[in-house]
Amino acid sequence: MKKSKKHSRIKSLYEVLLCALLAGSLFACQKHESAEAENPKYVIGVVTKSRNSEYWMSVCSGMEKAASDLGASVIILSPDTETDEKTQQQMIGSLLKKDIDALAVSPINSHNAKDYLKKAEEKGIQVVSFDTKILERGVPYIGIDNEKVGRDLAEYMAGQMKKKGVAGIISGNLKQSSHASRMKGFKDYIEKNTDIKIAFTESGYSNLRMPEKEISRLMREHPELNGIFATSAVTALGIMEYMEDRPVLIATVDAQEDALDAVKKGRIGALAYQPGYEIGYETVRYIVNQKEGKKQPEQKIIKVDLKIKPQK
Amino acid sequence: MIRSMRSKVFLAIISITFLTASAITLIFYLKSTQMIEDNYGTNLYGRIEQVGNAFDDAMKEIYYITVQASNAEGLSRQAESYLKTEDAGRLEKMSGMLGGFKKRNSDIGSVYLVLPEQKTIVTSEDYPVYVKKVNNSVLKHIAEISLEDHPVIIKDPVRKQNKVLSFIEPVMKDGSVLGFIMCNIEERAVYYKYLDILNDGRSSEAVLLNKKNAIVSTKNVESMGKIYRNSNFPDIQQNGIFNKRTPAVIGISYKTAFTGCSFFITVEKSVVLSDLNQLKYFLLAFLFLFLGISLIPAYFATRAMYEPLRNLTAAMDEISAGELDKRVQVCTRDEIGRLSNDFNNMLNQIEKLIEKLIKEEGLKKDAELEALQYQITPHFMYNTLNSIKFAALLKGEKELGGLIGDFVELLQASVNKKGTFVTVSDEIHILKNYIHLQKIRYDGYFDVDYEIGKDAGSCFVPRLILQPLVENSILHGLDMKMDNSRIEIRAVIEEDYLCISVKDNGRGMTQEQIYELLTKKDKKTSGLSGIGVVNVRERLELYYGNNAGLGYDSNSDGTTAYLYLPAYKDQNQYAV
Repeated sequence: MKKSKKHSRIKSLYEVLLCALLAGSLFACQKHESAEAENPKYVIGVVTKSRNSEYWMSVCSGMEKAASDLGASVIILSPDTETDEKTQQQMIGSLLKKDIDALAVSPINSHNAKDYLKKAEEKGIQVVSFDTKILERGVPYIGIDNEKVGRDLAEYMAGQMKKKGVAGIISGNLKQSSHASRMKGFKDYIEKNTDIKIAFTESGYSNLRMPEKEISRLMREHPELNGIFATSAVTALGIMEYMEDRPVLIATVDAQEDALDAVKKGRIGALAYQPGYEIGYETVRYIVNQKEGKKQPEQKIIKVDLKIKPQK
Repeated sequence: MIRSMRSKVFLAIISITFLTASAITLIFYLKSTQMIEDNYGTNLYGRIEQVGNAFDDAMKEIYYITVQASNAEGLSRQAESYLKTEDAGRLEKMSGMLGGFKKRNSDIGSVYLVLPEQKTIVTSEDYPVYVKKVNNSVLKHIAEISLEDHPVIIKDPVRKQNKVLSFIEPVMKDGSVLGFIMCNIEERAVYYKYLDILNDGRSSEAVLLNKKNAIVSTKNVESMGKIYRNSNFPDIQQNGIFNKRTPAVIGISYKTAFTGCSFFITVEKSVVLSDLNQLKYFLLAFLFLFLGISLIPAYFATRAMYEPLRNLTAAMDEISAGELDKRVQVCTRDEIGRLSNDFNNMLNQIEKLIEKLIKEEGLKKDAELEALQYQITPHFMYNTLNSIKFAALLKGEKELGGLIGDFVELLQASVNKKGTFVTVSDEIHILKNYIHLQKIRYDGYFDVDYEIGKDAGSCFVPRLILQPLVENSILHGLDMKMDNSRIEIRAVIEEDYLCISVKDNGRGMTQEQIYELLTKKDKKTSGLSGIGVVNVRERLELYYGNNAGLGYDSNSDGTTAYLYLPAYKDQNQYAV
């Protein structure tokens, strides 16, 4: 009787051990029903001015990297050229139809933003400008200080030309505050600090090459020209190629590898290197910070690196 | 019922091995399934993400084309001109232009220009190039839907039986809407290009849904535009790998950024894990193989463990059968080895004890025999001596009668077997009888003093323990030539011990003589009892062990015999 009792106790101990072991192993292996993969916290609509230049590609790359780092997603739409204002407006309209949390615009026309700003406000979508300011009250800006860039390049050019001689300005579309500010900064410095004569001011060449006909006309009209300030590097590169036989001092702004290369080779005198990737990254970071309730300055100025051709 | 210790240990090893191996196998199997499910889910998610992004990029391109078409100067000029002239040739020209836009992306099925005012739709197709008299409701619907987020699911306004995915952008002229550009994507094109490639034959369902959960594309073309419902996955409008236990299904969802469309694929786990079935059989086979292999070391281990135990039990069996000289062979230093050693030691101890017992028994028998010899004629001797005593008394020889009386008493005491232990007083009484007789023999040349402590008289001592000592003093100690020969007998109690001394003032003894006295076992013939000092010592040892002893101290002034033993008053306390 006693023996069988002891035996059954051992048996039940074995059963308990076995059950515990199996339960333990099952528990160890079981995983709760899972729902993996990340969902973006915020969807940010972005409209650039163009999509084909290296600068704009680097801006988009910075934005996408920031979005992936900060748990957001970006929808980037870009017109073909920096002159296509209508298309840009249409794209902003399309983005405002989507479920976006914020909108970042680099306006082709800094003055024509009222309509979409109103629509965005109605939908509760925050709008920021990057690269080029939207000239409306309360719209934050992330980008370089264009006026200062113009001044810095003027200072460089003045130094090179010993504050005298003739210079010309080929600017982008002046509806874009970035080009207008660069030109203003340049002009102001030259006029106030030097005896350099500004022979001409051409505008409308935002990230566009100036036709050869136009360049030759300008050269013909201003044979004494010593320096050219182009507000975008694509324009500057076109002039540089045309002026190979008759070198003039060229100063320009932008972020293009071929322009950088030209500075290294001394074919472009100075390049204010506009860091596209950083501008893109900081724009998304600015928006995410704002969404998360962190206080942000109205302007986030990105530092510009001034590249100067090697001195002989 | 398992009786053998070896079988129990063997069974325990096998059970533990089986349990452990089963648990490991089970854990391995379950972990494998988990890992396969996770890997499959992650891989498929990666593929869906890739295809989804490709779809999104393609849709964005089509959107760009739509925007470009809506802003195309030439097209709006032709449209304007058609509005004025209603020249069919313009329509054909516009169709050609639309064809140009269509060619820019292979996903585009058709491009339409809807001119609501003329109720006309111009197509990019060869047939029909344009459709006139389009229903008002169709035109109104297009105008309404153009305000929504794109792409939209819409019934093809030209081929009415089909639904298409469409980007619609207004063609503006001086602030008013001239018409609409529709870039249409065929559902089948989407299915075969973006959904079918995700189906590797394992997925049970693959759908592309828009933001409103309406089906954009799935295997069944008829489902386009219908609202998709899946009770197992209520929230599929977000990215995720959903691993459901019941029903055993994995659901994967990826939402594209630009279009907001979600790719959703479900896969039965049984299909994913089909390859694992083979592993299941392999694992089972491995388990039993492992178990089979583990039997071999278990067999040898238990044998090695059991061998000394078996030796021990076999030796114990033999010993319990009476072979007390058997010993266990100790060949290990473990617990069994120690046990065997202890067992052997115990046997040695028992053997010694038995030997001692046998020896004591022999001594006892000898003593008894000896006693019997002494008892041959005691009664005759008592009676005769008593008769002589009374005869002497009758003749007035009181002293002689007294002497004979003393001798009778002494004789009785020396041969009486009743009562091994007597009180010190009784022992002194016997001693006095003996001394009285000895004094007659030696003409009273010595005196005896007694000094018996108050409590010492009632303590028990072995009978005739003092007589040999006194006899030794009289025979060998006292100098017959001296006239002041004296023997002192003292008995006192000191700290639970009874200390007795017999002191004479005789010649003294050399150390050799003392040694001889204490060790020589020769039968005495000259004394009363034939019992020597050696016998006294042995008896003390036998009764009291180390608690009693006898020693001699001798010099030229005489010899003293010291004797000590426990002081006790219960006669049989040390009876053997």
